[in-house]
Amino acid sequence: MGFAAPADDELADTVTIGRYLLRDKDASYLLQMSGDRFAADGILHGDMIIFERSRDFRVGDIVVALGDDGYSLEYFTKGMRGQIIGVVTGSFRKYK
Amino acid sequence: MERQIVHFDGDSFFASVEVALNHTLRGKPVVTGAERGAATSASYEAKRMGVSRSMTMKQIKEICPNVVVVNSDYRAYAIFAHRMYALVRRFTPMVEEYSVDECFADITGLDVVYKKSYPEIAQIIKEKLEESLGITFGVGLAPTKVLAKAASKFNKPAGFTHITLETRRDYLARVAVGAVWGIGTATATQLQALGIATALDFADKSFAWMQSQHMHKTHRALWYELNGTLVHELSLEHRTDIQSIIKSRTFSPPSTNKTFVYSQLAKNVERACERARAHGVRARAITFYLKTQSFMYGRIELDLPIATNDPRDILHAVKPQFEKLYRPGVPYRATGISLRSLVPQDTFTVDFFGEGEKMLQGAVVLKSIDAINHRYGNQSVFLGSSMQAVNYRERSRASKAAKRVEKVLMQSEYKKKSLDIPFLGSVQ
Repeated sequence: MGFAAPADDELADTVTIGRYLLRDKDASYLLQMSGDRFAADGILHGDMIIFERSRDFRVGDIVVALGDDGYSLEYFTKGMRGQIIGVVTGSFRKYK
Repeated sequence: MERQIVHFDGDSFFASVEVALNHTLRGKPVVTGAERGAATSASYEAKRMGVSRSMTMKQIKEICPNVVVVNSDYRAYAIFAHRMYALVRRFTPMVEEYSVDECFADITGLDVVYKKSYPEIAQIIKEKLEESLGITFGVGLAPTKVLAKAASKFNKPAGFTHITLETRRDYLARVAVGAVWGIGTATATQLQALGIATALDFADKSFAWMQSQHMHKTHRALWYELNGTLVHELSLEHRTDIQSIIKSRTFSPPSTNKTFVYSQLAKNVERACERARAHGVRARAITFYLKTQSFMYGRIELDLPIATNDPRDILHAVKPQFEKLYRPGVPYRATGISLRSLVPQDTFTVDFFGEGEKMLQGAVVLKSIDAINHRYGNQSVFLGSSMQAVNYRERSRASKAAKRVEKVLMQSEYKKKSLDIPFLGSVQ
């Protein structure tokens, strides 16, 4: 009775969540979403946002701006004002 | 071939990390070191107000009334340090992790690989560091480590300075001999008495002069390095992040109860060991002290038979010494422990008395204790000898804090293998 022991190579077929979520782990930081400005993009209040401190972003990317009122998410457009410190590369959410 | 050594030096590193983690500190004079009552670093805003690291907190607050003083967060500084090393290693494996806020890189030969000049390569790495970490670096490029370290100090903050064999003398004329890396105050005074005021004065002396003055080997090495000949190769092994772990606590009212005082010390030992385990290091030596109400210190330094982070091993060594140090009837107000000569957990030297094996068994118990304390709050489980020092109100506070931390996914010192991603707060 009982379950067959899994073969070694089955065990190897795993995903490390950190690796999956992070593109550049040495430049990544976390923020927590407050409010529903980006609900249309699937980013809800309380979601964790991963962003990279980087200048490598394009028009349409969601970027992180840092102003006097703190951090905010923005769609990058040409001629955008304010200090952009990075680009959003992922997000995650916990249900329980 | 002229070697190409780069020195990277984080500007006001600890204070800069604090600002990177807390945007409300931007533009403010920030000083770290609240926990020890002495500045461990000061932001450039604070330095511009005249703050220096040799001042007491009281002096700092007088000269700079709007200063923000925060606790040093060595865990955060270590995360940024590791990121710095890792980012530089993307360009070359020849990296020396010199200290928590500095590293050297040997980029000799990379001009062919990147099809760029050496100053361009050094500046590309500098930009990558500043962009990824959100803090600035002083960077020096030169043919030797001593020259590179001198170069990174020019044009601070965020400076870049290239010293070559040709321009070397111009720069060294602007460096006081006492400011040269490796020349201490005593040597500087000695050299000044011999008429040597600048690094150039020293470099320009002949080798025969060095011999006639019986210069120490290390100073001869400096002389070579200042003259552009590399003597100090980069040391490429990984180092542990921390030099020592200190835990101390004042209690009031002062106590003449021996069991209580020992219990306080035991608690500090336990917390220090917990921190050592979280960092994956063991101590080879310790210092502990007892402070009396009249601020007299009794200190004892001990070498341990084996490197350990098990509080039971340390208390075993401490107990007999405590008996010697403790004076009955004297009111004590604080105890403290410092774990020194830290070595990484995985380097394991076998000893002759079977202590090593005993330690492996102990490790399983400690792992469980750490897991329970992480889950249910600090000091849910503790040694019997710490019993008297454990404050119940504090325990319930710790347990609430543990839950709060879990909520935002910020890992504390718990798992070494976790990916450490700094959490910066909320975003709109």
